Amino acid sequence: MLEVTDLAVSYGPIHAVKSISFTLGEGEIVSIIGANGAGKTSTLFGIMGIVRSRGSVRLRGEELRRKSSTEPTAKGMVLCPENRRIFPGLTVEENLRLGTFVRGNFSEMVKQVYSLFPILRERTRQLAGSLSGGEQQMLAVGRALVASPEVLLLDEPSLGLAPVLVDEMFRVLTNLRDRMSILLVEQNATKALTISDRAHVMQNGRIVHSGEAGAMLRDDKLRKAYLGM
Amino acid sequence: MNALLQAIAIGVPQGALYGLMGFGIALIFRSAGTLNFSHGYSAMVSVLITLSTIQWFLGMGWLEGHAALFAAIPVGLISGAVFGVLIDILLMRRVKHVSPASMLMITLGLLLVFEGAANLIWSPDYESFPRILPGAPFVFQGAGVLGEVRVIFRRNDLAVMLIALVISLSMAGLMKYTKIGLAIRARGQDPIGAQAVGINTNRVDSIVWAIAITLAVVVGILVAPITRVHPTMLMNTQLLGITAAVLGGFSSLFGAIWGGLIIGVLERVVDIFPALDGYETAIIFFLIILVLVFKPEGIFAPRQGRKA
Ligand SMILES: Nc1ncnc2c1ncn2[C@@H]1O[C@H](COP(=O)(O)OP(=O)(O)OP(=O)(O)O)[C@@H](O)[C@H]1O
Ligand SMILES: [Mg+2]
Repeated sequence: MLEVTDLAVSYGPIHAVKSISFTLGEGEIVSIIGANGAGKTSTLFGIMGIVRSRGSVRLRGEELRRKSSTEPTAKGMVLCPENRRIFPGLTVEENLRLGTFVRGNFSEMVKQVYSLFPILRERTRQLAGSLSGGEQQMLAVGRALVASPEVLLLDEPSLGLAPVLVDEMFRVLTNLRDRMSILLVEQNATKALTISDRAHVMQNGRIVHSGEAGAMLRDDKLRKAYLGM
Repeated sequence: MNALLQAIAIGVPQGALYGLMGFGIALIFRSAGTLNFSHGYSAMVSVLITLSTIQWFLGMGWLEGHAALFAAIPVGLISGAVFGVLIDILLMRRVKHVSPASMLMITLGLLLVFEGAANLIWSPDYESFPRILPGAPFVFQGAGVLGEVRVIFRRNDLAVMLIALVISLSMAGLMKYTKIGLAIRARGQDPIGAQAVGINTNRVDSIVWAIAITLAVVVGILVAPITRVHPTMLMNTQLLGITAAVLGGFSSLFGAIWGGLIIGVLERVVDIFPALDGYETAIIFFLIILVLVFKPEGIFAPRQGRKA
């Protein structure tokens, strides 16, 4: 589905991502885990064309030029960014409508999003900035889903959520897997590994370990070395 | 009472122009992230282009009188849009990731560049500019509950107010109901979020610059008959446009329009009192300081949440 080869992202002298390669298969959930500043967000931004990057990104075999995020999004790769990044001064409905800016059928998809996150349906006319943190996170995921992604890039969807909501979020994500491929960036390594097929550990801009998620979860040495748990 | 009505009759159209200027300035501030100090100066060059086009049409004998004005206006407006896009693509796009301060410095530099270009290519002289609606002013006269009333309303101000109203309404419609308007608001509220839904924020910025400078050209063409055409013709309008945007609160675009109207009327009301003559600007800026201290979010900012 998605093939990333030799991706590199630099901010001036800072090399945030140093030539990493990985793939995401159809219907797969692949996690990228790693400490703060490892380069996870930069990787997603590079893939989406939000920051300039070198290397090759292929979606269904087709090379993406990544001049802006418009092309990857229109072709079915949709990002749900870190820290929600919803539009606080727009209503919940306007936020979701913007999710279909370049792709997706709003009236059809919004129903699916409301059934996944019923709380949003009660808040359609409310300004997104007045939602609780958890509701904003649901809105962020909902805004990505209305675009009917084939590849969904999720950057720390559990950030700042209460434990029950984290479980709820991961339950929703697991249910999405038969409809799309998911690249999941998480701090919460245990949770991420539990729902993933495979995972990559990032450190200082490089992938330092890759493997099957279940095996990584059982690998004590690895957990101590990279994941601090 | 009569003096107050007269102040309103002159102040409202004048204020509408400050408001349109402020609207564009607030638009760039919110969506493209800088305070554009060259706003009126790029528009001034477009007014000069409009004037030269009029003179050219007249000189070639192709058009006469008002026809030349109306044929030249689109040229001026398009030049404004082109300036906006060029400023964004050639300058702002290169520095917007660096720091807001560098964008600000560039707009200050541009102010000097536009003024210098106007001096060099045209001249520092004052030239007259045709009114959209020429003709004798309207005089409203009569006795009513308020006593004897005699208010003079300049004919051209009718055009000014009508144009300002149409532009304000279409901008409101654009921002609220069109895809590009929604994209502009989204980009202003969260650029990363905007890119996450596939909005090309660079393109949005170019559109914002084009719209805002074009509006400033409209203002320039409308005030030119009064200020006459010269390199600093829009200095005052720009200053009061920024003031209008501050008064309206940069958080609400249409607040700038209301802010402009208040300033326009206030300027004239101050004129009523001979003792305050010459202090109009000082009083207006005193007001701004009060607003910044006591209601920094602007007097029209909604109480809670942010609304575009
Ligand atoms: N816009 C930027 N300008 C300069 N440096 C940046 C920028 N964005 C990120 N960096 C740097 O790049 C490196 C990687 O950052 P990135 O945000 O990709 O890490 P991350 O793995 O997502 O971290 P976190 O888990 O905290 O979200 C960091 O050292 C960071 O300081
Ligand atoms: Mg991150």
